[in-house]
Amino acid sequence: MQAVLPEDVASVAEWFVHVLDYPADTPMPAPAALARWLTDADGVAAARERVVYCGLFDIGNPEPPVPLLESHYHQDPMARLRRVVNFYRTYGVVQEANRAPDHLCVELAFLAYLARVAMMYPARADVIEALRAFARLHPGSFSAQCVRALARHDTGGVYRNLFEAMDRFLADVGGERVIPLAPDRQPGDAVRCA
Amino acid sequence: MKSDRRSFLKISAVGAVAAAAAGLPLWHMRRAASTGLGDGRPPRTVAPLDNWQDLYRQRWTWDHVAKGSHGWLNCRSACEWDIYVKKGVVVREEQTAQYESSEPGVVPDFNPRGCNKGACYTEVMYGPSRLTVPLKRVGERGSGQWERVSWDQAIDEIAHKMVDIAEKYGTDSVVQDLGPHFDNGPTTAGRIRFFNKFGGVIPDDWAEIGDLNLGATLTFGFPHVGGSSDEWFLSDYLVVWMMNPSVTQIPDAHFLYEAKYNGAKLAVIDPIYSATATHADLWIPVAQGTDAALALCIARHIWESGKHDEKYLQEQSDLPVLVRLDTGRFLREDDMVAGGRETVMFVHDRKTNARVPAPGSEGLTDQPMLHLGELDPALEGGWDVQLADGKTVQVVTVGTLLREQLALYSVEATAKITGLHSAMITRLAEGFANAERPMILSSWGSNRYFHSDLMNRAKILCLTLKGAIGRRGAGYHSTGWFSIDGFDLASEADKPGVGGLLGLLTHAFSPGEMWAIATDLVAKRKTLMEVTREQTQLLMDKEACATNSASINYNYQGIKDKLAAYQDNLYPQPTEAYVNEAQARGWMPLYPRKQVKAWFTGGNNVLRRTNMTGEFMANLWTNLDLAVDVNPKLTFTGMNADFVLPAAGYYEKPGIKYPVAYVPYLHYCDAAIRPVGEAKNEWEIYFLLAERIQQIAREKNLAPFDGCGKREIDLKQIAERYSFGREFGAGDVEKVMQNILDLSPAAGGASVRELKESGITKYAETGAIAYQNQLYNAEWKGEGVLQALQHFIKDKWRWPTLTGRQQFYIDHPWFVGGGESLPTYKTSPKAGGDYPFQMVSCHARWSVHSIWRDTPMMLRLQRGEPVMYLNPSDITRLDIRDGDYAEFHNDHGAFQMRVKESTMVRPGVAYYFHAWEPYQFKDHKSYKWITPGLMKPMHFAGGEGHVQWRFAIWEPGSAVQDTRVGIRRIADQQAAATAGGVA
Ligand code: SF4
Repeated sequence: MQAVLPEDVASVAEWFVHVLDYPADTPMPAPAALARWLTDADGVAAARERVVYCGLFDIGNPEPPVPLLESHYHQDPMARLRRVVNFYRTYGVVQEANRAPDHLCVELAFLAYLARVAMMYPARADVIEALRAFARLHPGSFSAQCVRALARHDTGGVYRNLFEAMDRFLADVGGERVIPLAPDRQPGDAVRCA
Repeated sequence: MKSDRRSFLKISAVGAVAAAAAGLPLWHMRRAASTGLGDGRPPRTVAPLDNWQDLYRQRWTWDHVAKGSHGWLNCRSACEWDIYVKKGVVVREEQTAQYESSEPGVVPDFNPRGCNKGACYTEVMYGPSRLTVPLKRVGERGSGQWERVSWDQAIDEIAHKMVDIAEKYGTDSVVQDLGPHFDNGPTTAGRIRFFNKFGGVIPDDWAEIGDLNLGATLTFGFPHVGGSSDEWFLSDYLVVWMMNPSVTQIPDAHFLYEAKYNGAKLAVIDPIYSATATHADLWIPVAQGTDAALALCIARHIWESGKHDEKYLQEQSDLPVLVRLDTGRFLREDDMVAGGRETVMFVHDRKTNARVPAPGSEGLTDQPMLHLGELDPALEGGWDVQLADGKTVQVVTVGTLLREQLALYSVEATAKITGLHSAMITRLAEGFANAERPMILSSWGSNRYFHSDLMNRAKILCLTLKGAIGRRGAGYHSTGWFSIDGFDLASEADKPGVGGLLGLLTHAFSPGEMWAIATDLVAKRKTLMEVTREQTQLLMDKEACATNSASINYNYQGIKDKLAAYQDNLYPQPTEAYVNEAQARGWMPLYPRKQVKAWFTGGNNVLRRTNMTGEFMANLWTNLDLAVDVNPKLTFTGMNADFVLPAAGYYEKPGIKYPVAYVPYLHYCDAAIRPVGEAKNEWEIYFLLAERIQQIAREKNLAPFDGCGKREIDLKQIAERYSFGREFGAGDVEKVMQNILDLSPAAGGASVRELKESGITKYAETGAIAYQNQLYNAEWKGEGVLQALQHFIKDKWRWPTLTGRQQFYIDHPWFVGGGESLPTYKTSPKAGGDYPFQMVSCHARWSVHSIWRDTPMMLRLQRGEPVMYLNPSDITRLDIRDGDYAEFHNDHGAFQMRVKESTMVRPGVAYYFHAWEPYQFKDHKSYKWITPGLMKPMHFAGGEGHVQWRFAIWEPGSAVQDTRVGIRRIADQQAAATAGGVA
């Protein structure tokens, strides 16, 4: 089983934020680690279109076809929101006021933030545990449903590919494959879970 | 590895400190203001989101709000919207309610304005058919094989192609199909301007679409009649006749229903139980195509019951004008006196018992007014007259001929024709005759029968007999239309500002002509309207390569034989003989002179709407060397083009909604965001094209072309001319807009900056330099209900007709020979063959033509795909069930469509809401493939008075409502469903 390093988590999560957010004018090069989950990152980056993004994720009445909000996918939306907000508060950050806290991009941004903290404190296994828990409990809790919804709406396939990759990525991060970059661990090492 | 709450807290302290120290990126996050981390307590500053209300508020956030409308959309309305923008994306639009009452306490205000389509334009704007990048065809036309290209490549290749075509076939082989999607801003000005400077052909398709009220033109001299929609409120008897305002005039329909609260009666005459009919006091389900008979019956009742307005008729109508019984022509001065004027007609004065020249006659060049003075013209009567050649002939008044004609339309006879109960006809006729302020609302869509002109002439007759035309709260509303001067100038003039206007005039008119214009006005030999009419016509004759779409279709579409089969037995001569005569006499211009080789479109979806589309594609489209669609949206036409260029959408470029009289406010459309994807506004697109063509022409040192034989076209100067001598650059669309506003007195001095804030401004006046665009009330200066036609009724200007009057008798030889000199009822010809169903269409509630036609949100409000409405008795007989596919067929072929069972339609009618895209049908073939679109030969007539070609006023069209079809059950529904072209 191939390990996932915190730096992979950080760079890949940030790339997903960049790609899935309202597309920015300057493209962000795909990180090398991404190849593990997404084979054609350049193609995806080149093909994504603002208008497709809006139609699928942001504009719709009463809802867009594929909402990017965790609370949309669960029975207890308010509790979901409280939990994710508490997660942020606990780590000393809050989301920007113009975004819902349970927006996929906000959650991925937080995942990247945790991963960077973990990189700075490689010996602290409990950071990694938080990273895993967050990936599993929050973005990973609805990414598979997004993939299914996209299969119905994204005829071009760009976003479906992207979300499938992200779902795999989150499953790996949440599934205890992440290891701290401790002196005795190297990328590629098998993970032995305690 | 386990972690507990405590270890998390420890980490958080570590994380926060580390982040602060190392400056970790915080995508969408920021540090909490509190430093309470590490002591087990959460930060003091909590996130704002803690309940559902907060969540809701946060979702409804935006960065800025712009003012806008649906700019160059052909929706015949105008509504101001707030456009909400977040991070460069329009997230929603919301109605504004800024409108006021024209006369507070007298009429309601114009609020609310908007419709279901406008409320979800963002769905179209960001929808699946939105174009965002230039595309070039790489497979066969229509194969769906495209290559994404850069703007530079697209412009370069199109420019080269255009120059090649111009060199081989002349610039007039390039057609700009302007279409009904149109605004009064730089978008449309840029399109017209470019093709003017290129020497291309701009055909008018108002009549070809079936929207031009030729019955009104025959009667009044112009087709667009009516004032603001709040005038409806003032009527006491509203007749909605061939219109469905609840569906097609949504922002204005409330005035009808408010009028009912005000005591008015509402009658709806419609074969369909329409959404407007559901509100009516009296619904008259007239058999389709028999409206003229019903109108003539009402007219007969008005006259017989003495409810007509004799004085009004003497002054305003041609009823007193004398007609020779031997020829069917008006008695003219040159009949009576050798060397007399051909266009002076006569009335019989009862006071002096003498014939006198009819006031208003076109030939009375120094008496342009209708004042009768002491005259007492007889409405009825006959006399013997000795002509200049010594011959004695009998003459009678038009009124006498009309009375004879009306005698045919007794209630009983009319009941037989119209399928109505005689009691219902009587009730309608009495209601109309007894009303003080009867008003008829008649839409552009009332012009789609072969004999629509006869129907509308008969409808107007009812009003004229009552003296209602031009009276406040009464009369004919067929959508008054005007345009703003700055737009006309931006489309034509070479210089910006007033210099452009002067330049245009001096370029078009010789000093002698200018002098004549001035002295005519000063000496009151002509009314202002007559001067503008003549100027417009002179300008058209000298400068414009203008024609009409029906003429192009008739000559290039390969449909002559097919039309002949259905209409050649209707008149003394075959259609082709009429058309040939019109062209030989120069009555009806035809461009391109040789071939159609390039087709540009954008405001039109020609392959969606043209009748006999198969022939159009096979005979005209395949011969094109270049087909370009400049459009925000991929249409069926775009799918069959060589290039599709993504145009900015309504919220992405500045525009002015075209002015209709219904709502007397200028509607400014701001560019709320920059164009989506790589889209560009049309001003810029045509600027780039002009620039490239100029470069190529200079490289090749091309000699000037002769345009369409009227003026020199120097492509080496095209960019100079397009840019107003480099006054405006490619990115100066807002400056062009300001220039338009500056030259438009109707805009009342409004600036772009002000309009960005306010969105709307009340028009300060409605006149325009172009004759087509008038409401005939120069006294209206933005105050009060906007009434049209006051020049004729109040100021007594003569009408722009041969007799100078509302004219019910057309003495053009074609009309006399064709039995249509007077309004009459004629049966609807069987277009497509003798089949049991008449296929009738109307505008839909869920789309504006083909825009929104494939929008999922709108489709969810209907059956989601093309559907034909049939009466339950018919579907039972045909053994079809609701929702089944059926085959509709006639001599031209067949198409397949689902059936909807509905008591809304009469038996024998197949009814559909129009503008489905062909790609929504099996094999991409819609009902248009088997719709012949008859062309009435009378409408090619010219050379006499107001019966002569004028752009957007008098021209041939095509009629769809006469189409006949048979209907067959499809046995294998499963196969029909899976073979369908429905996505
Ligand atoms: S589409 Fe026309 S009627 Fe509808 S909201 Fe827009 S401007 Fe108004």
